[in-house]
Order: sequence, then C-alpha cells, then structure tokens
Amino acid sequence: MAALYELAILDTPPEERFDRVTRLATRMLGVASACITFVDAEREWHKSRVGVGAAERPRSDGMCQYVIGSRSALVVPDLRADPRFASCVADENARFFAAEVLHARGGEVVGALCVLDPQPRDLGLDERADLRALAGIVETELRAVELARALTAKRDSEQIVQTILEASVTEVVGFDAEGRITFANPAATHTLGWSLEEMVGQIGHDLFHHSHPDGSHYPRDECPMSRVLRGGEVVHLDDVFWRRDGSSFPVESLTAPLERDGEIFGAVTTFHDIRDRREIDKLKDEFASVMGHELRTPLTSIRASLGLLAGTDGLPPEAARLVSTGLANSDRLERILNDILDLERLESGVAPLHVRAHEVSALVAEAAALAEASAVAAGVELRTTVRPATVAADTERIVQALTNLLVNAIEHSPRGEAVTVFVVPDGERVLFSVADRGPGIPHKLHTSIFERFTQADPSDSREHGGTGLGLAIVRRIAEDHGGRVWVDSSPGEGATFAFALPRARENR
Amino acid sequence: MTRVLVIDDDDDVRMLVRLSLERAGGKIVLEAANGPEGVERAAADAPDAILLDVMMPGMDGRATLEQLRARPETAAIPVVLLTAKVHPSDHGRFSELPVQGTIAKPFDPLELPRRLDDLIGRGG
Repeated sequence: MAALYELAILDTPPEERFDRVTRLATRMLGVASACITFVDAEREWHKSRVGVGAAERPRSDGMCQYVIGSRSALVVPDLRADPRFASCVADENARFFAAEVLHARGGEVVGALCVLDPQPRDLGLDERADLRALAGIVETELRAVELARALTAKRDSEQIVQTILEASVTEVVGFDAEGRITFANPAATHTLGWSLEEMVGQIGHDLFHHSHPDGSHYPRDECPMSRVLRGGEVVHLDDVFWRRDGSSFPVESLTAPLERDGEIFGAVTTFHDIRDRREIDKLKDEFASVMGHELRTPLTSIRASLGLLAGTDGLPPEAARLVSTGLANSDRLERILNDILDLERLESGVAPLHVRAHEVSALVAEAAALAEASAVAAGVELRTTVRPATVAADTERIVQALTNLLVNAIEHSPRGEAVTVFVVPDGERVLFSVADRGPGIPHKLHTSIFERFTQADPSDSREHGGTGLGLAIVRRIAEDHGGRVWVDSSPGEGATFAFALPRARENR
Repeated sequence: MTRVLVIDDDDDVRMLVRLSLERAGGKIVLEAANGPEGVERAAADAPDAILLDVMMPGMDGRATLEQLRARPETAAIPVVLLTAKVHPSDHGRFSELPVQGTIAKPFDPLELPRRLDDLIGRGG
C-alpha cells in the first residue's frame, strides 16, 4: 500500500495519457469496457475508464481484489459460471473479465488494467500478450508521472536554494574541485566588491584570501580551506579576506565539501564580516576595565572608611549597627562587581583556559580553604569526601567554581548543618558534587537557577548576600571544560549541585 | 618605626592608608600623589617600604616601579602594589614584576597593616 500512496495517484483527475490506453484496449481486444484501477484498503478507484459507470466502488464488490491478491493476470470467461466471483455484484452487465497487474517502480503490485464485456468469451494467447503490453504502457506512463513530479520538486528545491542564496545576509561562495569559483551570492559580491562575472572561474584563494592580515603573501597550498577539497574536512576559520579595492576585513568562515558518490567535486564557503563583533568585544572589554577601575576606586574609599569606623572603640550601639550594615553592603557590592567582571571575562573568551592534570584533593582543599570563613560565619560545617583522581582542568577556574558552589551551599544552609563535598571518579569523568541541607529548589527552577541574577526565592538574595551570578559563573566554567552543571533538589530536601570534568589521560 | 611611602593619585585612599597604618602603630606614612613625586620622595627619604598604586594618570605604577628599580638609591626598597584589579582572576598579572606582593582594592583597613608586614617581611 505504501508504494501506491507514494505514487500519489488516487483521486487525481483523468489524464489523456491513461485514457488513450483504455480506449486502445477496448479496440484491440474488441470489448465493451476497460479501466485502469488502483486498489487501496477500502476501494478500487479508476484512474481511467471506458464504458464503466462509477469512478470507484468498495474493494469487496470488485474483481481487482483478486488480481491484486494473486499478483498475476486473471481471465474469467464467464463471471456467472464461476462460483469464485459470485459476490462481485457491481457490473451486472459484465460476463467476461480479464485483467493484467500494474507494478510500481519497486515491483509492488498497485493496480490492474481491466477489460470487460457483456458477452462471455476468452482471450487468445496473442490477446493476452496484447493486454500485458498495454499494461506495460500504463506502467511506463506511471513512471513518467513520477518523473515529472520529481522534476517539479527538484525545480522547487532549486528555486528555494536560489532564493535562500539571493536573500541571504551571509556571504556564500561555491568552488569546483580546483578551487575555482563557480558561484557567489549577492551578499558575497557586494562584500568583496567584484561582480559575479569577474569572480566566476577565478581561484578563490588568489582572489580574496591571497595575503595574511599583515599583508604578507599567503601561499595557496598553505590555505586551510584547501584541506576541504583534498580531505573532505569541514574547516572553520577566523581570518581576513581581501576586497577588490585592496582593503581587508576580519571574517569568520565555514567551508564544507560538496560530494557526489564519494568524490569531492567542489566546496561551499559561507562567511561574514565580524568587524562589528570585534568592535563590540573591544568595547565590552574597555567597559569592563573602566568599570573595574572607576567603580572600585570610590568603593575602596567607602570600604576603608567604614572599616576604620568599625574598628573604632566606643561607637554608640546604633552607629555600630549602621557601620556594620554599610560594611556588609560594600563587601557585597565588591562581590557583585567581581562576579560581573568575571563572567564578562569568561564569556568574552579573552582569558583562555590553562588546562593541566590536577589531583582533585588539592583542588577541593583550596576551595574549602577559601570558603572556610563563610562557613565559620554561618555556623555551617564543611565536610569533604574525595576519592583520588586526576582531572584535566584549569585549576583556578575549577577552584572558583567549587568555591562558588560551596559559598552558595553555605549561604542557604541552616546554622548547625553541614555542607558536604563529594568527588568521585565515574568512568572517563570525575564527578564533583556539593550537597546542602537548605530549603531546596523547586523543580521548575532547575535550569533557570543557572541564569544570571536568578534566585530560587527572589527575596533570598538580600538575606543570603548572594550576587545572583555565582551559579552562572559555575555553569560557564563547567561548559568551558566540556562539561555541564546540574542540580538535584526538591523543596524541603536540600540541594545537590554537581558537575563533571574529564579525567586526565595519565590516570585512565 | 617602619616608614611607608604611599604613592596613589587618590587623596582619599592616601588618607585612609595613613589612618589604617598609623592607627595600628609602629608605622610612619609618607605620601606622594603621582609617580614622579613618588620616585623623588623615595630617593630623598629612603622609606622602608613603598605602597604603589598601579593605575595612575601619566606615569603609571609600572613605569614608576621601573624608575624606582633603575635608581640605585631606591632599587632595593621593597614595593607592594595596590591594585584595583580589572579582574579577580588576574592572579599572576603582576607576578613577573619585581615587587614583594600585591594588595587588592578595596582593602580591609584593619587587615592592611598585617598584610603589609607579611609581604615586606616585617611581620611578627
């Protein structure tokens, strides 16, 4: 049935290419009626019919069910004399019936070419061969219908690709196996400055990738994009391209091979000018640096003044309380400032990871030492259970991630409770987890809790002094190490935050 | 008495460092509001230690440090950098400089005297 539906012929209008065959069948075989019939689960449906009344009828009423079922030609000289077909009621006039099966492209029987006559008769060998030949013509026409439909679909998809290329804001250039340009979309010709006619046929590298950023010659065979044509690899580049007027611009490009039957016959490069992105990165960096200095300078004076005041003996109790509030908040402001700058730095990618093999116990000990003061102040005990393992990681970042998780857990723990760090090797990874006995986190927040400035309870941040950035930093660090961070928690049951790092090779 | 020269363009910071160090006792604070003044003051008064701000207009902390190290009369004076770090994971950014250590801004004024003593090796 799948082959029939794939033909998509049911309920289509009559077509001369099929009607011609049914007319020919009646004349050649000297019968009153002929039809081309397809059979699905419920009915037989005539694509073409001569001398046959209805366009369709229930499958169980017709003769075609037998033809389809036997998958072979059927000749019934006299229907009334044959007890097998007593239930076939539709054509009261028909006494004679013959049919030849119709095959789909894959050989499946999908229908039949039928001839009928009111007089009982038989078909000679030649006539049977003629019926088979006519069925062959119907099959050929079916293939032609499929081919025409495929061509239309191909034209449609070519039209879609063409429109995508023309409407795209991304530059697209195609190459043949020698690296000669075969096409360029309007975005590419506009950005590079050559017309399509000027570009086609040129070696792409020589045209717009001929020099390094410093202007020195860039030999064609050193171009990483040539690896696409030679080895079929997909190449991602941050580089500069050159325009017709001799100017250059920073680009991000992706080049992928075009393959046919395992042979690379060309490549497609998409690229875009990333000058804006570079400038935004630079602005962000400058902003971070200015904020780092300009906010920190007044904060330094506020913090130091309040610190000195707090250390002064004999302050009235109310003044001491105010000073202590000011002090706690200037400390918090400093933490927020640090976290914002940290996150900005991590996201901008300006500080690359320094990944080395590290024994996990040392990382945990360092993080625990950094969180110790918070734990003492909160009256929370820190416990660690560490199984020996070596991880491939940037120590400073991982200690920062662990410390953030520890401080977060401490801030949400009731006084007198413990925060537990577990580190266990798990196959190719090492699993780090930090568990607290705090109020827990509702399930719906298990993802958003890692977004910046998200708290399980928004009224929480002031009470616990969190910056709302600690977990976002942890997530970023985990992802930079090729891992992820997640939380396991239910309200009232505490929370366990965990992340996994790759194990260092020498320890496997 | 340990004589400490504070070189920082921010008047408030100099005043607060002075209060912090003098209140703890055992220290005399000298001040300079910029790099050139700091180098002259260091050469003239030969302090026991210098607290040097990194980000200053004109001659910044690095340039000031270079001059201090270049002049024979100031070359051996211990220097501690006072850094308003752009970034807390900037550890090591100043580690290649010939200094005794760094103290980050904002600093805790009650901790500052002890931190300074630790870094210049005068701690009890």
